[in-house]
Amino acid sequence: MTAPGAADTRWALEARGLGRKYRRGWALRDCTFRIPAGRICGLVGPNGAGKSTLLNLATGLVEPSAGELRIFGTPADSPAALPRYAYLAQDKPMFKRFTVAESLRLGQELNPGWDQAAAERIVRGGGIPLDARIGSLSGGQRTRVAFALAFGKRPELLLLDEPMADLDPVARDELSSLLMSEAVERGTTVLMSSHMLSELEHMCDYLLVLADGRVRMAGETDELVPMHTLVTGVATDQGLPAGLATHTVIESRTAGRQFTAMVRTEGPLTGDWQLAEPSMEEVLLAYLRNPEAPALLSPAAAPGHQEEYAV
Amino acid sequence: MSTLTRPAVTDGPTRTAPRRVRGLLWLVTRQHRAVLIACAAAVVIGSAWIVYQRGNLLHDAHAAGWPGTGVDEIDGNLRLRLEKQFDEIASYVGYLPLLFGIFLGAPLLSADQENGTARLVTTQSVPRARWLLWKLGFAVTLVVVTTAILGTLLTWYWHTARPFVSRDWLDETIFVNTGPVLLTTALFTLSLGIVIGALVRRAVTAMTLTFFGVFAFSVVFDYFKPHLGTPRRVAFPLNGEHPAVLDGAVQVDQWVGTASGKLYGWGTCVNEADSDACRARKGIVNSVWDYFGYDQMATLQWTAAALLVVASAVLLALAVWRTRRQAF
Repeated sequence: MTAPGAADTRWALEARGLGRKYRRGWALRDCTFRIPAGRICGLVGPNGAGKSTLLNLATGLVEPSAGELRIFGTPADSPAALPRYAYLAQDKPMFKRFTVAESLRLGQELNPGWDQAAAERIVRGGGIPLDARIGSLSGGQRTRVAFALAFGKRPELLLLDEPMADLDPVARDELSSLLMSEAVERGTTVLMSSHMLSELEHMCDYLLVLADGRVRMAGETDELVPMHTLVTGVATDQGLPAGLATHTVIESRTAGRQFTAMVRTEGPLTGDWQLAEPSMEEVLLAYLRNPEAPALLSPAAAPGHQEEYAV
Repeated sequence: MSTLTRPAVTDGPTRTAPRRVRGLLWLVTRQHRAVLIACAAAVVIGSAWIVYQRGNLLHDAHAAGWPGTGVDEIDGNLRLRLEKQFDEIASYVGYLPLLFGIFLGAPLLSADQENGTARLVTTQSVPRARWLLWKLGFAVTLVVVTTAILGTLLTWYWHTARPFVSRDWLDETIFVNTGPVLLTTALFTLSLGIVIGALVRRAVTAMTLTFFGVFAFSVVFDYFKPHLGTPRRVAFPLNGEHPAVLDGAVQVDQWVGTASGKLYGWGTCVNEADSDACRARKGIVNSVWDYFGYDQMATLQWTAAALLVVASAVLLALAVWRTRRQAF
C-alpha cells in the first residue's frame, strides 16, 4: 500500500473499495474516491444513499465491512486520525445540562490543539451568553455552539451531516457565511452532506455524489459541470437521434416531437440541436434521478491516477 | 521533547499532557455531578447517623446495666427499640445496591448513546476505549468508596448491636449489608445495570430492566446463600437445653433422630394421637440441627463476595466488548 508520507496529506479523504454492510444489506458498497485537501466538498445523494454511513465511517463511529478509508493518509479508525477532523452530526448532540462555557470546556479538555479564543469568538458572534444552558438555546444558537466546538478543535477536515437542515433561513444564512469564512481563513477541508442543491452550488468547489450506496460522481465542480451539455432537438421515431449514441446520455425526456437530454459529451456534438450549458443543480438532479447512469470520476478524484503522482 | 526542558509556567505543551488525563476525569465528574453529590451526601449523613445511633445504643444499654446485667434481663421495650434502630439504618443502607444499579449503572452508557453524546465525546480527540474505561472506572470507584465507608461503619455498628438483635445474621438485612458483601453486591448491581444499558441503549428501558434484574438477583442470591458453605450438624436430647455451639448460630434445617443417628423429618410423630409412644417405637431421642455457627459468617460472606466480584468482572467485560465495536 501507499507509504505514509508527504504525498498522503494531499488527500483529505481517500476511500478504496470502501463498503459497509448492515443487516438489511449494503449501505455503502465498493466506494473508491478521494478529496484533495483544502476543498469545500458537497456530499449529495437521496435519502438512504449512504451519506451518513460514509460520515460515520470517516469518524470511526462505524467500522467498514470492506475496503479502507484514510484521512490525510491515516486510517480513519485509528486514534491518530482523531485530532485531524471535527464532526458535526445532524442532531448536534450536546450535554443539555452543560452551560455553553462548559461545552467549550469539554472541547478544551478533550482536544490537545484546542483554540479557546476561536471558539469563544464564534459563540460571542451569535450573542450567546456563556452561562446559558445548552437545553435552553434555540436550534440556530445550538448549531452555532456546535460549530464553535468543531472549529475550536482546529480540524484539518470538517465533516458536516446536513448542518443547516433544521435551521430557519436567517440562521442558515448566518451560519453558512460563518462556516465559509472560518473554513477559508484556516484552509480547512470541508465535507458536508446536504439536500440544498442551490446552497451547495455557491459553497462547494468539489462534489461527491452517492446513490444506492455507490459513488455516482466525484470531482471538481468546474471540471464536472462543463463535461455536460443540455441538448434540445427534434426527436426521431425511435426516440433520441442516433447522433447522440457516441455520447453518454444521463437523462432524456421527450415531450411531443421535442427531446431534452443531459449528455456527457465525448467529443464535439454535431447535429441540428440547441445546446445549453447546464447549471450544477441540473447536472446533479440528472444523476440523482438516474442512479443507473455510468459513474463519473474526474482524474483528481480517482485514487491511484498516475498523472497525479508524476507532479 | 521540548516539554521536558520548558518551565511549567508556560501555556504551551507542558499543560496539555497532564490535562488530557484530567480531561476525561473532568468530563465524567461534570456529567455525573448529581450522582456524585448524592453519594457524598449519603456518605456524610449515613456515617454521622450510624456513629450517632451506635453511641446512643451504648449509652442506653449501659444505663440499663449492660454488660453487667445480661441482655435477657434488660427491659424488653428497650431491646426492641435498640433492635429497631439498627434495622432501620441497615435497611436504608440495603437500598444502595439497587439505587446504584438503577441510577448510575443503567444510564451510564445508555444515556450517552441515546442522546448522541457518545458520538460527541468519541469524535473529539479521545479514543473510544479510553472514554469507556474512564466511565466505568469512575462508576466503580464511586460505588466502591461509598459502600466501603458505609459498609464498614455498619459492620462496626452490627458488632456492637449484635447482642440486642434477635433476627439471625443470615437474614438479608445483616448478611448482605455488612462485611464485604455490601460492596460487592453494589458492584454487581452496578455492573448489571451497565451491561443492560450497553445492550438496550435506552436509558429508561435500561433502568426499568435493571430494577427487575436486581430484584431477580436478590431472590436468587437469597436462595443460594445457605449453599455458600457447609452447615455443621449437632444432636442434642429432645426437649433438652440447646448446646453452647448453637449460640449465635443460624439454623438451616432441623430433624429428629435416634441414638444410632438415624434421621427422621422434623414433623415425625407430631400429629400422632400418642406422639411419645410413636417416638419410643421409632427410637427417636434426639433433636438434630443443621446450622451455621457465627464463626462461619465471615467465610460465607467472603465466599459470596468473591463470587460477586467474578460475576461483576464478567458483566463489565461484556459491556466493554459490546460497546467497543458497536456502531454509535
